[in-house]
Formats: sequence, structure tokens, C-alpha cells
Amino acid sequence: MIPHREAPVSRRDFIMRAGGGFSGLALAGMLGLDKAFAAPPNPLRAKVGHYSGAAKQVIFLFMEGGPSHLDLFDPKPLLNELHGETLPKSFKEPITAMGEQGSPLLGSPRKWKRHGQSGLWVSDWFPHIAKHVDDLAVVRSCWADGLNHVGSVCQMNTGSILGGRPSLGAWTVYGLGSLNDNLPSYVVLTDREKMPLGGVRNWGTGFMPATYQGTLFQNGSTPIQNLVPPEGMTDSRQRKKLDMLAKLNRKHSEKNAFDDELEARINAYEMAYRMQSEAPEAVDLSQESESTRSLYGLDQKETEGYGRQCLLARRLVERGVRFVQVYSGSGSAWDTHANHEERSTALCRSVDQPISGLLSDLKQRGMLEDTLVVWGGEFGRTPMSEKGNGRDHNPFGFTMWMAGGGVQGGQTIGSTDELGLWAVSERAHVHDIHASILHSIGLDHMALEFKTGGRLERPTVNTGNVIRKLFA
Amino acid sequence: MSFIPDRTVLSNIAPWLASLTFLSVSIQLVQAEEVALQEEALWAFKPLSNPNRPEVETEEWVRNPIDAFILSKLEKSGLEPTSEADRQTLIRRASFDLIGLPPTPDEVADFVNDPRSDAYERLIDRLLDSPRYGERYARHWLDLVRYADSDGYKADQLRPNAWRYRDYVIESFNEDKPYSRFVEEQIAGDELYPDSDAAKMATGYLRLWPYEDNQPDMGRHWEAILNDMTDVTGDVFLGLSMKCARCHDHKFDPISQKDYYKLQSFFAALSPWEEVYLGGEDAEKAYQKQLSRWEEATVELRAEIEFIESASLKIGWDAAFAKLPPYVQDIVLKNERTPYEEQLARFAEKMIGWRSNKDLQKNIAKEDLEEWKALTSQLAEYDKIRPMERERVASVRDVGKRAPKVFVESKGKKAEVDPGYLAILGLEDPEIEPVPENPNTTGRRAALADWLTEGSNQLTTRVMANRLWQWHFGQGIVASSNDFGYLGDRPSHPELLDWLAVRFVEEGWSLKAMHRLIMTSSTYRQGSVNHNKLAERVDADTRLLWRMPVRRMDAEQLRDSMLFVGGDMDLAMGGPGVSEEDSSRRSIYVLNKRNKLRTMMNKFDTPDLHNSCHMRDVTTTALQALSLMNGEWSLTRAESFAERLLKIESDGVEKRIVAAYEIALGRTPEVEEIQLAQSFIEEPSSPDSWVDLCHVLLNTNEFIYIN
Repeated sequence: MIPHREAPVSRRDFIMRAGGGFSGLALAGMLGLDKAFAAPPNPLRAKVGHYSGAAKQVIFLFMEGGPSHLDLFDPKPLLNELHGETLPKSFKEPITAMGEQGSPLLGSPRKWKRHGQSGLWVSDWFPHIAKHVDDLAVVRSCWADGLNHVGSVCQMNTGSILGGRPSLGAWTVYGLGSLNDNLPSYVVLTDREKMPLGGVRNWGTGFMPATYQGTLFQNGSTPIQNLVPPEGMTDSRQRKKLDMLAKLNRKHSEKNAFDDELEARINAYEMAYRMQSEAPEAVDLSQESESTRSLYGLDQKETEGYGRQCLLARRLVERGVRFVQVYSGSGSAWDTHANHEERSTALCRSVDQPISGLLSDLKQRGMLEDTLVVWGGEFGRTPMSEKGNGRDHNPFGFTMWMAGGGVQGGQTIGSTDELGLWAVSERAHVHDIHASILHSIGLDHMALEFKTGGRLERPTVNTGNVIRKLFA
Repeated sequence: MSFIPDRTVLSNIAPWLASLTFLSVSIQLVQAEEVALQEEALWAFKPLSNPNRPEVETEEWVRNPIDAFILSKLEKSGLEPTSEADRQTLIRRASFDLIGLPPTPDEVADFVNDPRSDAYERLIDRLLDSPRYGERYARHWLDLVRYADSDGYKADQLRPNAWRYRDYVIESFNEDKPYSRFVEEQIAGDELYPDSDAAKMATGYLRLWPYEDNQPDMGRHWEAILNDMTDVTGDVFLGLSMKCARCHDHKFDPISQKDYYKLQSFFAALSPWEEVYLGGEDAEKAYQKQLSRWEEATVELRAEIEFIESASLKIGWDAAFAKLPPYVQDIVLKNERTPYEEQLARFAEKMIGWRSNKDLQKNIAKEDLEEWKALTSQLAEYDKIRPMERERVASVRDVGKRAPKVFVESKGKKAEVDPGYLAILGLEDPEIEPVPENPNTTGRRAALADWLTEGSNQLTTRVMANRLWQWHFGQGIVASSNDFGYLGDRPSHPELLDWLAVRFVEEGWSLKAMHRLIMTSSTYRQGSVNHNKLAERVDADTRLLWRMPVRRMDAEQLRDSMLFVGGDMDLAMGGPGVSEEDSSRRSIYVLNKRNKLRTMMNKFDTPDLHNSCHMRDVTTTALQALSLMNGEWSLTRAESFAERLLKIESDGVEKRIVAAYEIALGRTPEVEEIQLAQSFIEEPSSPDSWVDLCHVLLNTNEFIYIN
């Protein structure tokens, strides 16, 4: 556990955070509960959510740049019929990110099939994921507020297109605490060196303390910054230093009166020392069998990159990491303004088998019930072409799916219009998606509160509804 | 509470009845308490009182009236203050507090051995006179105004002139500029002091919002910017969280949605302005003179270049224009614009300008390219006589004497609002006219500044007096120092807060006078170690100040101390931001990039640079430990520190240990500590042993916590 004293910790503060308000304060006083609030609560102790029986962990597969729902999960025959024509007047023309106006519609050359017992539509870009449709709930009516990447990636992570708010992972860790003592509770993985657009604030804590922030794992055997002692520092030499440090700190504690904070810092050094051995073990994929490695596509060049990250995600979840985010194409690779066909083919190929492998693996290990898997990007793509053979951003209507974590698979929820431009029925805003993710892990998005600057803040900016059908 | 039926008695009769009765009585009590709380919650809006210094029993403890206010509450709670800290503790505390650096061994020795009765007062004066003081206190202010050196959003473009605002803040603190003037310059420097360089830099306050230069939907972006400016102004100067009232009347505070937009109206006419130059008339004359020399010498050359470029720029202009949303295109093409349209047009022209310049070379016709290159290199030969770029600041100006209309929209109805104050204050809204100092603007911000800096303004004065208290004691008299409203905390010592606020104005809004007053009190000089169980139980949060609260170094104090102890620190002042890892300048000068936060300092809770930060978080994490224990930067500091020790003669193991303690911790080690260190240093001749000892000392709790 990482002990941490939040400032200011006052009784009022604590009760307000617990959601009790003034009535709670008065009642607590009457019931003689004052003493219970004297010690600062450890912010990362594992907590019970608002509902029992919920999932415990989340893996969020983030296709950064915006995958095309029109070519993956949301077939539009009319789009092919009208290929080359301009958007009919009956469809409202949106402001597009790149400002191309009146561009012709771009049909989808995909081959479509119904899959599984549920008969859900999936295109030939995702042949492996298609095998899992009976576990997927496909939400076709997502929509978001932003038009450009950085705002939209930010919103898909924090609920707001503007910076300064905590990410969903941070809210999760704040609400549920940590399930392990030796690894960070919230980990971000990327399949290439580029940072997701907007950088750290996508897994930052905004107005919350840094305790809850995500940790970006570096590729290689030392995933965490400064995990390994500098060259030339032997283990015995480092142990000696840590022992000396502990001696000096104990002596200092004896003289001083603020034990819990000092104790917390002593423990943090011990945890850091444990992390040095635990974290490299967690990321050591050589411990996995050949069959598992090939299940994730580690034996093929095209799928190896994302496969490693998916396998790593499973290992982290196994070790109690609460929230894992796995970026595909970090730095906006899915942003296919031009050469959409060629680029998307390669991207889909790179994630299809790894994601399929992850779902199979979680299922066969009995982990899927307790783990919510979310797939999507910051938005979808337009039916109108851009630069002739590309598609522009479409935050007006796009697809995401969820699996595991109590989600009822084999169903499609909501729809876009006949060209896949605007979400029309059962519209699901990013806040609704977030509310549903939180619901899956036992958190009520309106009861999860954090007090800052005189406001009670909630993860979905006080709006949003759980998409009930997901859990029907 | 005596009329609550005894639960145990009742539950013997009928358990269900007991719970029912208990519940209903509780609810009534809670409701009564809520009403009382709601009235009490309006405390911040009441006019300043001028409270009398309270009577206390232990009169000899009182050095100045602050002590009487503190002691009287302690006595009422049956508590006693802690005895005075020793001099080593006092100089370390005061140094970190005022200049953000540890005292040197010589400074400690001088102070400890100073026989004069006013040795401590002299110490405070010395620290207040140090230029390091402004570098320390500016950081508090920069946190509040969410200062950053970059735009944020996607590109996170560097703001090349933002540092001028940072230097202005440092300089203002160092010269003890009256706070009232400091506020005026930031809110309305361009209106009130149009010729002052300081005021020009100060208006940088109105440019600190996150900005996306690639956002074509300018109307929406400008709205977000104005909202942000309104929110931060509420937080920083009024201590009121206005944000909730943006969309609806505040649910808890007496702030209506209309109040929100009345405050916003003060800013409604402004627009970012880049062409604001420093140096006054003489510098401008010299620049123009040199410029015309260069222009005369290059007339023909430039004409030829312009001829080629004009075609390219036309292509770029058309392309950039085509990408604007239709409503912005309409505004760009208009000859007569409303003030609001003028604001958006300025944003649009800026975007078109940078886009077409970006593609300048690309859009030059192939057949002209060689000639263009040749011409531009010929032109470059005249750089010798070209004047240096003038020093400029990112500032603001009103787009004219008329302001755009501001509307409040509620339940589908729109109503126009004018600038004005919170209704609960019962003040008349101002009649606003352009000010004589600058007749070309609305005068709105001057009016706001005028109100904020009235000595009778209960919000500005209380809020700043409270911040000063917080900066010295770790938490304010009102702990939620950006929120004096209902959801905020109540003042622990309301009379003291008013007394300080009144005194602050009497002292001519001098911050240094207030530092002196607070720091020379007995309250501030208390020890921080006190094993008083009663006090721990009654007041675990030390709100009553029965001892001095202990504080962990913030990120800047930590980085600066490590550089300082290693003897590496470069004390040069001012100028563009520097790298955290590669520079040994003070942390106040480290570049604040909104999107780059993966550094050692970030692990120690630097603010997020988007929200006003009134108080740093204090987290304790394993990642901090990793960074201090394994991080290369930290190790390099230990190496520098060890080098200092190794300069002491080689057989002086004990001497070196003593020096290490004195340099890092500001005290001589005890015998036991010397022995411990001696056994740790197995090989006194090996520099590594000393590096390790230094590294351990830099990692100790005693180093990072300030008593």
C-alpha cells in the first residue's frame, strides 16, 4: 500500500468525500463517530464499490486516431449505393475537422458476415475478433463532443475535451483502491514509442492527488522510470544504503510527533525496493508458454507489437492492477485521412489476433467475468471521403464494444443513420460509456465524488446514464 | 441534546420504535443545524470587522496581537503552545519559508551565536531582503494563476514570452510592490498604466489560459477561454468558486448565474495582443531609426521578394480560409464588424497567417524558387544593420471602447448583463467609462481592479491575508483558501483573519510587513515536536496551532535544496525557461510545459497547470522513492555533495561526517550518529562510500521534512 496523507484532511473534508454532506456530519457527530475520522485513511487501500458482485478490473483497448465503424461493425448498404455522390440534403452536414466541404461519399469495400449464435455483423477486417461476438456488446450509437484528436482523446479518458480533469482510471483507483502492494494500480501501455496525443494528462489526475495517476510503462524489461538502480550499484550496496536510511529515519521518527507521514515514507522506500524485483517479473513474457504466445500473435511480425501489450495487460490484471489501458497506434495511427483502405487494413491486422487472443485467454482462465474489456477510439470516421481516399473524424456517431465484466454479450445497442454519420437511436455519449464502465466495476458515477475548489466533482461531469442494456 | 430519548431504554420497549423515533429526531436536528450552518456560511460576505485583541492568561507569551488571538483559543480548549524552537530549527524553517533554500553552515553558526536581542528579527529582515525571496514567493502566486510556458492542448506550443510574466511576479515580490498595485497591474495594467513595462508584463495574467491555435471553431474556443478567465479570477482574487454558477445558480453559495456573467463582462472586450513592446519611448525611437536604415537599404530587394511571396501567400491564404467554418469565413470577409466579430476575426487572421506562412516556401511557384532563395540570402546580408527584435510581451487590449454584449442564458431565455458585483454584497453596479490613462478601451477592467483593491473589499483582503497565513503555516485560517463559500471550510480564527486583513491594508498592502509580523510572533516560533496526547486528540490537524505544523518540502524546495547542498546551484535570475534535468538554475525557472509532466518534480506534486492550485498535494509514493534512490539526477547531486566533502583532508573522516550533517541538515550530528556513519563508511578512501552516505542523507525524512 502507498500511504498518503491528503491535505487538508479535516473531518468535514473526509465526510464530504464520503458523500455524507452536512447531514452526514451531524449524524456522525451524534453517533459518536468522530474518532473514526481521526486517522487519515490510506488512499489506496482496497475499497468496496457501491454495488456488490461487480467486476474488479478494466482493460481498455484504445485505437488511437479513430477506427472506422463503417468498415468494422456498422455496415451501411446505402453508403455503397451512393458512393461518389455528395451527402444527400436529408442528412445534416457537420463541421468537419479538416474543413473539406461537400466531398463525395466513400463506399466500403469490406465483405460483411453475421457471426456466432447472436449473428452480429463484423467485417472481414476483424476475422478473429468476429469469433467472440457472442461475448461482445456492440454499441453503435456512441457520440462525443470534440472534433480534433487531442480534445477527443482527452474526453474519452477524462470526460472533458479540456484538460484538468482526472482520467477514468484515476477515478477507478480513487473509488476502489489498489489490489496489489508491489505494482502501480493504473498502468498505461503503448505499442510504439510515440505518446498518445495530449500526453500524460490522459492518465493524469487533474484536480486529484497524484496518488491515483496512471503509470506509463516503458517497453523492455524495466517498465517503470528509475526502476533499476544506476549502473555500478550492486544489490548489496543498495540494500546497505536502504538499511542505513531506515536507521536514520527511525531515529528521526522517535524524536518527532507526526508518525504516520514519516512511517508512510519509510514504507514507500520498502515498496520501491520490492517493485524493483516484482515489476520486471510482471513484464517478463518469456515465462509464457509457446501456445499462449502464439495465441496473442507474438510469433508473427504484424501482430507481435500489439500482442505483447495485450499479453502484458493480462499479466498485469492477474497481478491485481486495477486499470490497464492498451493503446494501439499511439500518436494517432488510426487517423486515416488519406489512404484509408491500405492503412486501416494493416492496423486491423495488427490488433485482430492479439485482441482475440486476449479474450480467449481471459475466458479460459476464468478472468473475463471479473475483467471488463472495452474497445474503441476517441471517435469514428465519416462516410464522406477526404482527399479522395480517406475518411475524416466522426464524433457524431461511432462504435465501441465491451466484453466481460458482467456485460451481456451477443447484442448490438443503438444505431447510426443510414450512412453512419450521426448516432440516431439510443445515443450513447462518452459520459454514458464512462458511467457504464464504472457501473461494471461497482461504482455509481453520481455517488463517486471528490471535493475540489469548493465543488463536488464527479467522473462524468454530473451527467450521463448507465447504458442499462449492456448489463441486461 | 438532552431531549433525545435514551435509545437503550427505548429499544428495550420496541426496537423498531426506537429506531424510528431516533431517526425523526435526528432529522429535525440535522435540519436545524443546516439552517445555522447556512447562515454561518455567509461569513465571507460580511464586512470586515476590526476586532479587539483578546485577553489571555499567559500574557508573557504574547509578542504581538497574533499571539493573543491564537493563545486565547488554545486556552479555551485547555491547551498550551509548544515552547520555542531552537535556533537551528528556526533558521532552517525561516530560510525554507522565505527563500526556499536551506541555510549554509556559516549562516547557521552566525545566527546560533548571535548575542543580540534582535538576532531573530535581523534574520527575518536579511531573508526578506534576499532576491531569493521573490523567487520563492512567486511560485505560490504562479500556482494560483496556473502559469505555464506552453499552450496545452495538442501542439502544446511554447509561449516564448510567457516568462516575462513570471519575472514580473518575482520582481514584484522582491520590491514589495503593494498588493493593491499588483492586482491592478494584472487585471488592468494596459488601461491604468499603459506606459509601464511592469504593467505590460503583468497583463500576462490575462493570457495564461490553455489555447489551441489549430481550433477553427473560434466562437466556442473563445467562450471556453472567457469562462476559464472568469473561473480563475473568482478563485484567485475573490476566493470564490464561481464555476458552478456558469450553467446554473450556485447550489450552495449565494452566487447566481447572473453574477457569474456580470463578472465575466468585465473581461468581455479584451483580445490577446502580441505587439506590445518593452523599453519605453527611447528604445522604440532607436528601434525605428535603425529599422528605417535597414528598410531604405533593402527597398528593392524586399519588393522583389514580396512580389514572389505574394502569390504563395495568396494560395496559402485561400487554403487556410477554406478550412474555416462558414460563420468564421463570413466574419473574416466583413468590413464592418461588431466588437465580438472583431475578436473572432483576430483569432481567424492569426490562424490564416501562421498557416499560410508555414507553407510559404511550399507554395512558391517552381520557376520562382531559385530566384526567391537567392534573393532571401541576399537580404540576409543586410542583417548586420537590421535592428534586434524588440522585447515584447504577450498582453491583451480591449478591441475598442465598446464591449461585446454578454448574455446569461437560462431555460432557453437570454438576457443581457452588464459588468457588476455579486448581488449578495449589495453594491451598486459601476458606471463604466474609458479611463483617462487609456481612452481607447472600455475601462471595464480598470473598474474591476478599482473595486478589488478598495481597502474595504472584504473578499480581496481576507483572501490574501489568509493566503499569507497559509504560506507560513501550511494551511490557512480558512483551509480552503480558494473557496470561502458554503462548501469551503470555516475559518478556525475568524477574528484573527479580520484583524490581519485590516492590518494588511493599514500596512499599505505590504506583503513584507505581514511576513515580518507573522514570523516574529511567538506562534510562528513554536517548536513542532510536542507529544501532548490531549492536544493530539482535541486537534489532530493542528488547526489551533498548539505546535508548529511540520511540512514536507515541495518539489521546488526539494530540487533547489539538492542542487544547493551539492554546491551546483546557478543563482542567475530571470529569462526564458530552462530544463529541469539539465539546468542547475532554480526551479522557478524550469520550463512549465502543460503536456510534459513525467519528471521528478511532477512526482512531488507540482500543479497540473490547468487549474488554479491553492495548495499543493502532499503524496508519498514508491515512485518518489525510486526517483530519489535510483534516478540519475539524484545520484549526480549526491556525487557533487560528496566532492565537497572530499575536499576536506583525507584523514578527517569525522570532520567530513560533521560537515555532511551541517550542509544537508543544518545541524551537527550526535555522537551516535557519527558512529553510525563511520561504520557505514567502510572505506574512507573510496569516494563511492561518501557518495553513498550523501545519497542516503538526501533521502532522509529529516532532509525532506521541515520542522
